Amino acid sequence: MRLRWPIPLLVAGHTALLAAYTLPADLVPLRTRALAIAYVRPLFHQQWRLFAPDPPLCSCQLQVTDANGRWVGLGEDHPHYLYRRMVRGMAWNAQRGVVEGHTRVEPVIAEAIGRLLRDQGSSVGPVRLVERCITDPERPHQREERITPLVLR
Amino acid sequence: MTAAPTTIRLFRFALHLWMLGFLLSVLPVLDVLYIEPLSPRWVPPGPFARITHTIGAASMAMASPVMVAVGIVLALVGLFRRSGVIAALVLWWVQINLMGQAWLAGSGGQQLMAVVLFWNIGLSVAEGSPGSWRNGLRTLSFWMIRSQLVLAYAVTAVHKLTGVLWPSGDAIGVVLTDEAFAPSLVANWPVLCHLVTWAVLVLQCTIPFALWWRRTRVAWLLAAMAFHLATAIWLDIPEMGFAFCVVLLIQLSEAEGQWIMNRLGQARGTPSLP
Repeated sequence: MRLRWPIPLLVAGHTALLAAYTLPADLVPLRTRALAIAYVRPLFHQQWRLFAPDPPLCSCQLQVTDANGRWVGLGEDHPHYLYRRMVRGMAWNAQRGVVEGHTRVEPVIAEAIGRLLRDQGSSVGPVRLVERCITDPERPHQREERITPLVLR
Repeated sequence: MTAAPTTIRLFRFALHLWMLGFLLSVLPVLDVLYIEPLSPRWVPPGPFARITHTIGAASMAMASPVMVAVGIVLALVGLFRRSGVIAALVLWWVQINLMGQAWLAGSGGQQLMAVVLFWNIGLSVAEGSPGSWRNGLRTLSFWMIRSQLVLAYAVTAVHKLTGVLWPSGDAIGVVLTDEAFAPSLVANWPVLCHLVTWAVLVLQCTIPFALWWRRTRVAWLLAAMAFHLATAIWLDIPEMGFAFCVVLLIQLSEAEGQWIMNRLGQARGTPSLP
């Protein structure tokens, strides 16, 4: 069985479709993109946009009130990195909605926040998003605080 | 196109080590990842979901801890014995299902490993005679992983070049002053932040080319590993940093792989790894 040519062709074709799937959407023709999504998403899904094209200018945190009525961060100081990542993921998703003008959190993320509240032993009280935003990227330490009450349901 | 058998053995050893480390690291949060998960159940459309989201599709949350246990055993076995196609297939299935179940805890590193574990199934086929389908499958899988690694760097470089803060040198300062990450002290030295930002950009733009030449390969591999270890420690993505360190090994030539194996063999008092 001669395998000299099929291997480079398969590697090149596969890589080209991965590139069409992961490159910025405006660099890839629509039809190629659609073909790449159909091929890549089921088994080879990936995206390489961590802090790209730019890192977010606003950090974000979910906050709830504690027993004394003070606002406290929700689960972000958990000792486990995967727990902190889940909490951050919820905050980023809520922030995306706020940027688009919605304070009502999308249902799947609202459900996740509800589960987080239960795990943290917090009552399902008010939840807010606190963003600390850079106004001048050359002075990243100077951040402006923005607070947005979130609607979970 | 040929494969490098010694490099493949070294790579597979590191791959099993990563899998073992990752699965052991999830044990303290097994309940919130899989048993009473914080991530709501989500199953993508399409026929492949039955394979990639078997647990989610069947609502069998208690199956996840069993899968973690199976994954730990298979990863351990893979460290000490040459594991076969079935073991590689199950390991991939475990990883992709656990990732789908705890999707909020996912990362590029876990995605990279899911793809690499898929091609590891081809690498696990026993070597055959030159020109046989077995060797063809091993060679295909070997080059798929190499091209996957290079693509990840190239794509992230393109994304960053289309932004504003990476070319201007401000990106690292912005990232490090986010309370979620450390060390924010570095952001007090803007010149250092600019230099690190541009160094990262240069590394990610050049590595897809530098990895193919003997003269540049080792220096770039070491630089990339140092970069990924730094991200593992300071950007709270340990499994992603280590995943890239593992996959970078696939770029070693046969002679370079042999050199490392000999050193490892000497350190272990045995001639080679499984």
